[in-house]
Amino acid sequence: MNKIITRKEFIQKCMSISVISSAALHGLVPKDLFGSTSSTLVAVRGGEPDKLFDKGIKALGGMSNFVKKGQTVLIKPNIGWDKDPVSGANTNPLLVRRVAEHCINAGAKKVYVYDHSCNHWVGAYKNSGIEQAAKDGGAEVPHMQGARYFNKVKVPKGKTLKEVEVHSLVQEADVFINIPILKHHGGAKMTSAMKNLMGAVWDRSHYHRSGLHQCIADFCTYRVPDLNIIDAYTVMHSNGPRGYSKKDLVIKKMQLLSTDIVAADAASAAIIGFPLSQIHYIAHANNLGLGESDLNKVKSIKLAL
Amino acid sequence: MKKRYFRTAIATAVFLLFLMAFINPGGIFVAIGSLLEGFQIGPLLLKLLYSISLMALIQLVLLIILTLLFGRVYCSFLCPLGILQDIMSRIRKPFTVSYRSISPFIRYSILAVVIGSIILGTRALSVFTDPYANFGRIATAIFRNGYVFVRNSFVYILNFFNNYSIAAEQYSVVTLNSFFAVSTLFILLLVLAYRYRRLYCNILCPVGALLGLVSRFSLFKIRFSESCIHCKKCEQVCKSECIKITENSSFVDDERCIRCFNCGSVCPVDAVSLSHIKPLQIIKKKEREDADPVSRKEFITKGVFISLSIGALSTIPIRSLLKKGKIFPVLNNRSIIPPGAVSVERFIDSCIGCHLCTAACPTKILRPSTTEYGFRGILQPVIDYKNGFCEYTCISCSQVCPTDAIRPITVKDKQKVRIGNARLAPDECIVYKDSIACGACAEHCPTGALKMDKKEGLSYPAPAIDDQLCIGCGACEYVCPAAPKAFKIEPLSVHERRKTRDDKGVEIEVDETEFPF
Repeated sequence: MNKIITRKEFIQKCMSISVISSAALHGLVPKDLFGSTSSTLVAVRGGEPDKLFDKGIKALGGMSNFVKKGQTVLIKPNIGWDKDPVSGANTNPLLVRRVAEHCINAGAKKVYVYDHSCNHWVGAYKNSGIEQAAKDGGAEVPHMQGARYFNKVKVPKGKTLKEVEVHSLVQEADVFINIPILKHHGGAKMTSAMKNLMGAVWDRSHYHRSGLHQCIADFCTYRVPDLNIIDAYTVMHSNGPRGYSKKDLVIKKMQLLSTDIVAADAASAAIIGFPLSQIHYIAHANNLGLGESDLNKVKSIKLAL
Repeated sequence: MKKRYFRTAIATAVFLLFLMAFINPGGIFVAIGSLLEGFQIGPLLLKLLYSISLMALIQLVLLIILTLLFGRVYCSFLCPLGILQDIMSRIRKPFTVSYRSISPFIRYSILAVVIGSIILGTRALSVFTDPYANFGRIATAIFRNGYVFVRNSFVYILNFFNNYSIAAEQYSVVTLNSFFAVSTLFILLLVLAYRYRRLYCNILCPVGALLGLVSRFSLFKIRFSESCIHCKKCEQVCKSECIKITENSSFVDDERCIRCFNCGSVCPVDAVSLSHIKPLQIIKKKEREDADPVSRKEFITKGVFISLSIGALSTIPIRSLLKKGKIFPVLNNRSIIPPGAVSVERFIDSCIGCHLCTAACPTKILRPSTTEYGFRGILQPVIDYKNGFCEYTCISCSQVCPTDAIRPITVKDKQKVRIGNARLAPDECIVYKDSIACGACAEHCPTGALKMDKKEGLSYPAPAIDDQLCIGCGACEYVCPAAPKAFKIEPLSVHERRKTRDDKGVEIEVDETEFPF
């Protein structure tokens, strides 16, 4: 029996398909409904970090896709080290500032910038230039340093990491934006999106003791960032995460944006030139269903300024 | 009346600035602190023993000239411990005292013993008795920590209302022995000040004894005119209990008098004044009334001569003696001292133990020593990597030290000074012990002395140390996740310079190729 579709039905179906697909793009429908191909990676190159971000976020439909009016946003850059912006040890302050500005423009009620530094936080926040840049961009840099601002939470899907003391801002923020800088890393081989989240927990030595790679992947099952912006402008390809000399750095002028943290890390590995097999946490995260590590299955939008 | 208020105003300002310098040793208070500490007798003398400093010599000479002019005004105007006692005695409603006879030999013997102990090579006594150092320890342990308590409580109240604009501070470390030393002294001062005002300054204080000796020769002294009605009002308010008024005589012990002008302020007939009298020779009590004033020129020439010779004497002979007189060995040479301190020997000999550096240290790794320096010194600071590590860009302690025990150094210098060697105990390292990939130590190493290298028989890279690059900052020890720690910093009793990396003129490579995916 052939069923003839009326014009009205045709229009209705077309409408619903477009509504559902656009909703999927906006993350309103679970991703796995459409399979892994829904992962989108925006890669931008050839300009200053803030300009790269302007172009990249446009390709993702603008910041208003991620930040709604009245929401609180946590921006988590890498402010690990008491080093200047040129040394490529911390996220580029220009980028932090621009991301904050976009959040404010999208109507965010409050934008917080926080990282649990490795060096003493006063020096790291100041000399990285991020404290000032964040404030210039309209964000708040709250003084929430010390164990009392972390709370113990369960990580039910974690394989090794069952419990973790997470910063209260990570618990409470409506939107969680991860802005790591891409670097070589002595312990984890590479630090980018997932590794950057170690700055959201209090006791990092617990990770080291119990297996760094699995813990890094496990944390993402607690809360995965709503958006990952990878600063690959200055890339530290050796002697990371601190770096000792300019020999350790290469200026790539690149940036990656993705909601898929695994795809973001896989693309980071390609940029820095490390084989995925050496960065175990990417495979662990893939196994946990946190995202897609095979870049062939990810929709890549490559842009240049 | 005016004279006393002048003194109170200056003393209050000095005290508050001192307090701020200890409570918040950063920014402008470093400059104010070093200005004030530049005029403290104890640190100046100790500084002159070990460093050639024209500035310190000038400051000391100025203080001696001041004392030769007006007597022990230092004790009333500049000594923070003295002012603290004045504040303490104010807890009590105005009370009266009467003349107390104190044999000067008690304070002379203490002074002699302290000087003797310095010559013999121990700082334990000078650290315990110097008024500035005592004030410093009280300020750090009691006032600064009290301030941190109040500040942090305020911060947590603000936090409750979702305000995170002010950061909480870290407490200064108080060890068991520093707690006892500080609290005992504080209680002693409180009792003495409450009952007798400045008794401490005239019995126990070696600086008071020294200045007392100098002020015997001072040009201006408290004297009573003919109009004195012997009402004893001045005797009752004397801070030093050194005025004796009888029915027909008025007497002041010039060595104990700290020139606080309390007496002049209460005199109903204006009979008390700071008078110009015959200086530079000991005047017998009976002769005072008819003493001849000396000419200004004579006074200035003699005064400058005496003060210069005291300044010169205090440095030259003792210095050569000190080199031989090391009768107390450093009992325990496991103590790490901050960059700029040069060597343990030099450090303990020139540190007065005021704890200003422990207050200034942002990571609070500097704490009072317990038995680390044996009989050579006590309470002088030592580095302990339990609370943190020595930040690569921080030189706070070297910027505040009043005796140059920690020499002022630049950040560049600091990054080149080796204060210790990182030592690995492979049995404790989790890469060896549990075959776990770690590398926390190498991550934190600021100079690249510590790297993770492949080792035969191990599944993951293990720490390898290049001693010539290690500065002993303790980052590896602090972050080591193993319990007990696999890393321990082995101190260098004489600091060294580290090897530098040869990468001058290297520019960052630019690689603007397409995405590799």
